[in-house]
Amino acid sequence: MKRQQRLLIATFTLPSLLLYAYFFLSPIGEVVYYSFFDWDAISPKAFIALDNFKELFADPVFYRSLLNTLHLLAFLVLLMIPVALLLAYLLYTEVRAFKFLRTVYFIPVIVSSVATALMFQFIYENYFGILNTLLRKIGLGEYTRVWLSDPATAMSAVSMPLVWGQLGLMMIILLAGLQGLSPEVLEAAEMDGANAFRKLTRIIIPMISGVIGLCLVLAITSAFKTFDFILILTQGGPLHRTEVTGSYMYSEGFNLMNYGYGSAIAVSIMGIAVVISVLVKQFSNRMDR
Amino acid sequence: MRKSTMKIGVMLASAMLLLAACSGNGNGNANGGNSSASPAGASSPAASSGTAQEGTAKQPVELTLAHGWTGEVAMAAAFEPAIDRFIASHDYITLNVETAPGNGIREKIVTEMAANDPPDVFLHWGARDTASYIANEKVADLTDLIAGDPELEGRYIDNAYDSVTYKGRIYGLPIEANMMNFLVNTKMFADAGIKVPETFDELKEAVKAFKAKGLIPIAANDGTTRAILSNLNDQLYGESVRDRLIGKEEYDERLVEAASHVRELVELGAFPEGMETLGTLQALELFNTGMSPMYYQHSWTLGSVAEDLFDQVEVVPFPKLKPDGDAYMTSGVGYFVYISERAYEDENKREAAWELAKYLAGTEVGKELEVVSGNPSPVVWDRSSDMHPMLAKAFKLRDSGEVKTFPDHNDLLSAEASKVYNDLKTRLYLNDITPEQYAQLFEEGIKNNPNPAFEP
Repeated sequence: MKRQQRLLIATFTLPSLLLYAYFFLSPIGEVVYYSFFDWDAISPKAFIALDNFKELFADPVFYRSLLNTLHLLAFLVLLMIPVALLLAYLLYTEVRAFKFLRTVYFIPVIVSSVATALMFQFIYENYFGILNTLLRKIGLGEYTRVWLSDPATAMSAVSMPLVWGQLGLMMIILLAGLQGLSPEVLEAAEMDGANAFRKLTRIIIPMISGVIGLCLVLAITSAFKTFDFILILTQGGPLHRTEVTGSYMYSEGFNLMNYGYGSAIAVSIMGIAVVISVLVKQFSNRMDR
Repeated sequence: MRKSTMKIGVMLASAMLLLAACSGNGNGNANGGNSSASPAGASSPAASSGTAQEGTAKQPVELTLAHGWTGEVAMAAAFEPAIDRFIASHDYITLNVETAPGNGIREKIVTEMAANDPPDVFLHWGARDTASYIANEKVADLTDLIAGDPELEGRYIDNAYDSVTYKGRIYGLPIEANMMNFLVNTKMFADAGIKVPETFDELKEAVKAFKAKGLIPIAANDGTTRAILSNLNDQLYGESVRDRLIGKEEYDERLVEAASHVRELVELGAFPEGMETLGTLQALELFNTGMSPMYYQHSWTLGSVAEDLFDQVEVVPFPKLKPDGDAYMTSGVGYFVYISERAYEDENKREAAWELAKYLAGTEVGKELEVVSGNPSPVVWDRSSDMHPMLAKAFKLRDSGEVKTFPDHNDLLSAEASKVYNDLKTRLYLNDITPEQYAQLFEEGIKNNPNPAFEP
């Protein structure tokens, strides 16, 4: 490549790189930097080295929030992705009115998280909510719960809006993966007598494992960065029963003005999410091979 | 070579122009989503200057006001028109109004303080929430201005500056009073043949009787137990509870007693199931729909009591532990108008900011807040019959001499101790801790997190 061409490429790339560095890399650097300070955003920063991390690793609320985040992640991985794959497969087989259904399934993705959370609040409300009212009407009153507070249901209840809101997106990604499959392979399987279930489990899923891997990475990042649904539905309470890492970081940073500690939580979340995502990607790549 | 260099140069210049066009202009009006308001004919500094010279002969000045009384917040109905009136009558002031509804103002102010770009005048809670701004000289000390201004003499109720006093200095003007009101639906009591409780024992009997009828005796949410704890401690300790809240004196077994009474009510089923998940107005809905005969909450909710209940709902003292003891009502001032230190240091801005602050925390706005928004004001005025009926009942009780008043306990705690307090009361009613543990942890919370406002 000529020097002149290289210069031209560099010139065109540089603005984007600078913008990326300014808007994406520098905030990450700043968060890492602040995590070494005791700082309330107003007073002068006091350098405390790794004290925020020491405190964090001894903080039972952090571990509770981490467990709750894993609960949320399990919901996304074990419920959302399989359901999204099933819906994508149904659309792929062009069931009746599949174009209409594709739009309907995607609608939750474009609904704002605040609206979604409020809708679920109306569903879960103890006395006037749709869910308990329905249970009472059909004679199952003994199954009514304080869904957002009962230790047995609280975390699952706050996970559902995220599943509902992201299902359509996962479905579209998986559908795109399915549409990239070679029809000849599927036809050959049919000729060999494979039924729909075997086709799905033995041919389709292995062939789109890369796309499933992408969905898993998206699910992991969603689980670790979620805080909006939690904030509106429960604010992490009661007694941190629904606290996730994202809401705990927000609460420490913005409610209690412990920016240093909040930054340490953010750095830890980032580290954990990156490690899990890399492991999942490596596993997915191995499956691909 | 020369041609391609020129092309690159043109493209770079275009990119720079685009970036420059997209960026803000760097002045005070560059705040996205804010409304900038100035009087007609004074939208430009020149126009403003001209009007000022002809009219008031004051230097034109630009101020920023940040507040959270906007949108669906009840106070917006009185407060936002008041701002418009101020703008219309002060043609030398160009007022940029920035809003963040409700608690959003907290995040907005802290972000702007951290960026060293605070609004000139802003509304905020008391020194518990602004201690860090005060300690770092981000907000102005108004003590001398207040002392030297005859207009402010006798304007406010007693102790109106308490929650905004930090180490003996005053940092804000009071704009919103607060009370905790115990509401009873007298018709429901009469229909059930139950006496409106005056003592705690009668309250327990009423709770049992209503519970037996399948009702929720007290419409409550997470904050209600805190209100009950405060009231019981006021009754048990009297005025000396203040010294205990600020860590000057130690609590004793009476703190356990107060917590035990709350547990008694929980065990009797006085509160809605899952009250920790209910919002304040959701709890009020239980009262409004006749599912609950009693409600104990902040005075700002009075404006939301159902209109058809006005005749049958009374504001009564919270039941007394001892028949011959004193009844208490939580009453104080919790919201203030602040001036930033930066505006205070600018001589031109100081006068205008002080005028704006005095107007917002003044009699005219105070009256409107009570009459239009049903929200109590700390301003002393001759309350007339056009007052919101529920608010009128609350004031009548407060000023009757039938109850003693004491401020919200949260206002005397540091921000950290207040968080401990809020967590502990939730743990107490969810039976996560015993009353003894509650008392021990609460006292530790105060000792470990002293309120800097009361430090010498």
